[in-house]
Amino acid sequence: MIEVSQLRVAFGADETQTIAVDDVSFTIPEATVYGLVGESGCGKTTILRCLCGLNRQWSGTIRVNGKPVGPLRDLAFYRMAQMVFQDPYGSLHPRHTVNTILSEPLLVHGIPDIGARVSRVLAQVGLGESFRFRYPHQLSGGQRQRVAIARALILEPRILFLDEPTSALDVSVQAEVLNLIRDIQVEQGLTCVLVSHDLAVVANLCNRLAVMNQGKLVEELSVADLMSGRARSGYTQRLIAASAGYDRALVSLDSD
Amino acid sequence: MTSNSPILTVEDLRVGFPTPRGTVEAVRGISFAIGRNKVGIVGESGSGKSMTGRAILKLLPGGATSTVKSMKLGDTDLASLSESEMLGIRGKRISMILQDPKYSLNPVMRVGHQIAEAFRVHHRASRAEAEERALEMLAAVRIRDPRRVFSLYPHEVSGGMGQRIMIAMMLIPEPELIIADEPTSALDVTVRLQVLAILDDLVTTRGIGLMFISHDLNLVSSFCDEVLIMYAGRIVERCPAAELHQAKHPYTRGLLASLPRLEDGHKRLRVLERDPSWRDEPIPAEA
Repeated sequence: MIEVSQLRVAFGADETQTIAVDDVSFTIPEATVYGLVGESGCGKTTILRCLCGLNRQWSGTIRVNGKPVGPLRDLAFYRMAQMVFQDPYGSLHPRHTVNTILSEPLLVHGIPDIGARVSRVLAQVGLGESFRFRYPHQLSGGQRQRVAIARALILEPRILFLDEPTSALDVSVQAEVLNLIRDIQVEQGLTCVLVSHDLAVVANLCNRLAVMNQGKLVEELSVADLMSGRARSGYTQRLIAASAGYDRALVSLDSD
Repeated sequence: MTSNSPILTVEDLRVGFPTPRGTVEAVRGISFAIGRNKVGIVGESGSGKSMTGRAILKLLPGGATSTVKSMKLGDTDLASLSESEMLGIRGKRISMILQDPKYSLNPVMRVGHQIAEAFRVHHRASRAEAEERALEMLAAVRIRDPRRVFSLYPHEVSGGMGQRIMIAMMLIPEPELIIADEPTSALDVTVRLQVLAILDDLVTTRGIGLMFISHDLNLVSSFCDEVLIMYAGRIVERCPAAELHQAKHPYTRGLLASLPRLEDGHKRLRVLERDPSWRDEPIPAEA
């Protein structure tokens, strides 16, 4: 569904140039969830922004649904691919009601039958009609993230880009949102790209994942490999060990 | 004072926010003691864990009111101290490490001078002496080249380095108790472990009490000695950290079950069902 080859992104010019993504290639089959994992600054979000068209300065090839795409995308692309952002407090317009927020994509794409579609998508993400005319400040964090997911789903896309969709939420709410994403992904056969720093979240949702470090793809592994700790590179093994919790014996303080 | 006697004891602490519809209580009568060990306070947002930390230093947001039956730091009765007397406590005897070093360091002052200032506020010392102490402290938080880092500005250091500088600044007046409010939430996992190890070593070797406020159950159970679980402004369960995974309270059990685990893969997560009776049931006695 998505093929990326030799993707390269550089910010700045001359001696201050930073290479954010360096020669990254991967393929995501249809109806699977692909994880991009790594620490801050590793380039995972930059890749996602290139895929969804928010970042236009890249070189290499990106093929979506068999067709190569350029830096600028047309309306049809966004009908097929939608995005859910990290922070539900920042990604919803504070002075628009849920109804307005959900209707807007339909108006942009000239899709009729707005009222019925909004009702349907609200039911799909587990929010009733009673939420329809509320403002974001009248919703909890988990409910807001459901609205953000509903806004992405209302165009019936085939690809969903998820940028840390649960990192701003409490663990009990995170569980609800992860279950919801999984149910919808399975039901609609969506292809998803999930960016996360949390290996446990990635293990819960993804089929395959790529571990990134300093702009480079360190290794690709299946979720089964991740679960049993069969990582080839030392960097991935360190990440897995670090996410297991604190162990004084494992931390060496010799380096800065 | 023997080494086992608690550094801080708090009895029946309450924090309330007056609103037009009556007072909303964020902390509703909690009691605990911290000795020379690491005590974790865990809870979800709104459980009152941060307000508890701030109430000890009497640094509540404007409008908030707090009452406490007794609050003692060693032999000092914190509850009866005036605002000016608190200035001699804050930083000197109890210090606080906050979540994000980006917002808690002064952006227009070299980090070394900030650390030295923290020392000079509480101790009579010359500038040169304070700077010498600041350099020693930077070395103690495992910064390889203290002299170089001393003259950097906060925007020139990474998140992990910034948090080490904060730790250095908080430890230089030699406090008895440190309140760390989500000290590593803004850091990457591998950096987080290093910062925790530094904090762990310093707290253990200097015999400082640590109150570690966090939402991360896994981290607290592996890092702390004892855990208090807060729900709706009260402590619903307390247990040794190593036994957190055998917790008895349905809220703690629900929280643990809702955590995704690496080895569970695609298993459906349990969703926490909240029971209204948790708000007001009897609080477990101190262990």
